[in-house]
Amino acid sequence: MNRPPVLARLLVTLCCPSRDRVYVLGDLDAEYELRGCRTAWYWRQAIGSVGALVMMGARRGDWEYGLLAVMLAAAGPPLLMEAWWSFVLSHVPLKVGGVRGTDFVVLSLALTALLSFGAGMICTIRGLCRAIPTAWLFALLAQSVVHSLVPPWFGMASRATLTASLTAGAWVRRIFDRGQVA
Amino acid sequence: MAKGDFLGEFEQLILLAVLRLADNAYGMEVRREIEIRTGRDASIGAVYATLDRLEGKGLVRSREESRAERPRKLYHVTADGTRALAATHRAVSSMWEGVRVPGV
Repeated sequence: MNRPPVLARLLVTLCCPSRDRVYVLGDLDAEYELRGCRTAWYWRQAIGSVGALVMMGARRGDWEYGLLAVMLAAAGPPLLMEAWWSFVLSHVPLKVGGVRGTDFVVLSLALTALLSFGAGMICTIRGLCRAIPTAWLFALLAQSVVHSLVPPWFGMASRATLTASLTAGAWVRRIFDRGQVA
Repeated sequence: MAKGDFLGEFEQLILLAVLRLADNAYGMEVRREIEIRTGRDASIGAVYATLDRLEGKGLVRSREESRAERPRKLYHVTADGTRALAATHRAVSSMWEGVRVPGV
């Protein structure tokens, strides 16, 4: 028997929530064999499954998805804004070394609020006690990269935004879950 | 019935496939049943995600089959699932009453 394409299988393995991985991969492998080991079919199934499997893990609040979302929400905005600023400054050499402006802070905080609201919806109320310290840790790590170039109060404002948005997201998820069909 | 109580099109297909397959309703067979009967090449991820959502709503229940050569998760439709399916069918049939569409 031909083995399924390694990369396609890895893609499914990475996207699938751990508790269902063995069933999804088992089913895929079995049908792959049944269909005469058609690599294109396996790839189509793997790519077509990515979105649905990620959403399934996020909806159930599986910890690995929550952790990934919290990491992105906490470290993503400052690093993304830093990259953007570096790009802008590379075109305005006279301003190199200048303190980041209000636009950097406002955009970074807005992005933090948006991403951490989504992360809060994945983490749920129960996971907040782990999500908030984790978010603070990743925010501190990311901010250490841009620390010298942002206003001194930026770190505190960012952590406050993270905490408030994570909590708001988790509450909205709770309200949404209670409204579902029993 | 409230808006959220009706089933989506794919949810109906999944529930009907589970009912049709009876004791053999696991991911791959559900996917194949839908493909054979409707021609729709659904992804295995979409099937599992929908089954998971239906299980969250209490419309299907799952159990692991240990006797099989590989681990499989078998599904069956609950009484709530049957009721939701019947209610959706009634609603759709009622909407079709008196409607004439070429080819139907």
